Amino acid sequence: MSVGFVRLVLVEARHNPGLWLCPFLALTVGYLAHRALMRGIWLWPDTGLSILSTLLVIGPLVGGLSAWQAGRNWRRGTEELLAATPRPAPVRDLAAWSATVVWHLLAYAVAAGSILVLAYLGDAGGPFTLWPVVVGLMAIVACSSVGYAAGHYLPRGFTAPSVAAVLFLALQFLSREPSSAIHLAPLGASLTRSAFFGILPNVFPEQAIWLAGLSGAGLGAVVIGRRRTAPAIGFFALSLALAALGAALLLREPPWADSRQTEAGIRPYDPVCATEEIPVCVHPAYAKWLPEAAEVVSAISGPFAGIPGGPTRAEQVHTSVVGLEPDGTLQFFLHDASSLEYWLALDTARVLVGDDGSTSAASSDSARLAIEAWLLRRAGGDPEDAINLSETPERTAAASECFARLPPEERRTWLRAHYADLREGRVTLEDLP
Amino acid sequence: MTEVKLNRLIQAFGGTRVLQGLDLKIGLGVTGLLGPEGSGKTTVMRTLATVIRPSDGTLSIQGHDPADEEQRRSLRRQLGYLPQALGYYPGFTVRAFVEYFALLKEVPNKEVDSAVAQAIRRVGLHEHAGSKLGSLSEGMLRCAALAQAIVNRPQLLLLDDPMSCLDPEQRATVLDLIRDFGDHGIVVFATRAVEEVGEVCEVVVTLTDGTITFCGSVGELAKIGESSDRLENSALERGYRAVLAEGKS
Repeated sequence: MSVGFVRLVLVEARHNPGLWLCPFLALTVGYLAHRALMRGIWLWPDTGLSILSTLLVIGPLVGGLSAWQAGRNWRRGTEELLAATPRPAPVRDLAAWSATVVWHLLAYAVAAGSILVLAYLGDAGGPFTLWPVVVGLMAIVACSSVGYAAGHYLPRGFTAPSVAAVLFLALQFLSREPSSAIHLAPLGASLTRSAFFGILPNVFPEQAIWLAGLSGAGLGAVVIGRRRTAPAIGFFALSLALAALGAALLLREPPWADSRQTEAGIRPYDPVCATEEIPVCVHPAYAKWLPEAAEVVSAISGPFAGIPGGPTRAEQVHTSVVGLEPDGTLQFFLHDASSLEYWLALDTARVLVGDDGSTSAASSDSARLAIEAWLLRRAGGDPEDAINLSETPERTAAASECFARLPPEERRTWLRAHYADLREGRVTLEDLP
Repeated sequence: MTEVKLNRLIQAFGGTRVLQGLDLKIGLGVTGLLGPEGSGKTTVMRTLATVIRPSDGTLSIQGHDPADEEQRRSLRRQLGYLPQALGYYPGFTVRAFVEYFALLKEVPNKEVDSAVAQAIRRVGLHEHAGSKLGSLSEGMLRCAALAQAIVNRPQLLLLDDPMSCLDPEQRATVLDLIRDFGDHGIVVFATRAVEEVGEVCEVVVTLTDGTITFCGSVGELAKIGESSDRLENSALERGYRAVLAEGKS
């Protein structure tokens, strides 16, 4: 790379619209990522994926701006002047494209860096990975390259908005795809948002190959448009082959490649606990949610504490498949804000009464649902979530209220005597006091 | 070797012949290319600027064959071109615009800054070097475009209608500049204005419908006009009119 080329890029960069849009792009990435993260707690994988997911908005913008820049000489009528200069046209294009993409990369990197610093300052937990940021940067380059190629071949005013719209729709469509094609849009379906597991690259390397190929193909198409030389055609063909290889590898992956994350194994950790009627423990990354989680879990599990077969300890686990272990460990799952606000109470109540969620018409299930509704009421939840599952909701609601009105000691005595039967489904509504 | 040779040069666009087999030799100094609208002046200039390739015939510039890629690139380093239809980037300053073309013309890196400053001063825009092109008048824009044309100190300067939109002061500056470049290299100056040719050119080539109808000195063209009885115009103008009429007949 010659000094002259670098100076050319600098002249282009100083007069590139990206210079003015850079703060806007950075603020957009920062805002979107931060907004996503504010819904929960700061976890490193979550942070990376939130940054990556902003590509849905930023990718089309970058593609559109690049297409606009590619059509500049046509719009400004400078092709004639440029054609009489000795520097080869592909070099001019490369300089103009570099000056465009450098601002987009800078905006993305600044925003991503800021979010990572915020996560660090917010004591983010879980395993740290830069893969999402790296793939995000590569996706920016790919969107820019594809957009530039489109603008090169169709240097009209409508090309830029068209490229942005097509990229947005493509990313939107692929990100909702229930098949492996979801990985072609690198929006974050590739890493579990869990603090428990170690980090595996999962599909990130394949995505890097796919995006590198796509970037090369876009630039190669521009070069071929200028001069159809053997090296240019070779570069274009190689890039296409790389993109095809990446795509083929990605399409071989399961749609939810984050399940592979379990292969990394659970990273050892020391749980943090709150001492309530039973100790309630969470992964240290979720320590911020411990007081609220302990309050909910204690409100629901408290009546069963000390009862034979009842919980002796509650602990957060990595999976949503939870239960009451033979050693008395009550498992619960915390994932995001909704799991804390809604699912924690419901799941804990279900686990404690032995309801596996597959309700049947049996009246024994109604008895469990009545107790479940009472537990939900204790935790400030909505008892209707349980009652509505009953085939006889009025009777179940009445039984639940009746049980709630019992003196605590009487309730505890009944639970001590019938807890095992309740969990086994051998208690009917009529058996409830 | 400082000359431009056109040998049976033909330019055709979509079956229409715009240049009809031109034979021409242009040497050092300022050569005026005179002709009415549609006579093929701009096509000649674009061909000389290596923007378009000849449909047939040969072209040799400064001993280089523009058909060969390496020679064309080498030739373009010594070429300055001001097209008739001026394109520019409104967001660029005059300095950035000229620097951009200096870099595209592969001016040695160490010389770029001084070459840019000198070219801008030469066209009288040094006080507007930091102004954006979008804020300049048409005449100033023409001067900025001229600055990019001369930034590489070209051996072959091609100016297609350079005087349009210039005010008298800018016009004088540009005429001086053309004379200076003509002292050391080849300047080809396409215009429709006969008096401009008389002011700076040593040689005049007139074109009519893609054919050369006259090639000679300014004095020779004026001499043709002396025999005309239309005395309301200058001898040069009358000479041109006579050549034009003969070409059309």
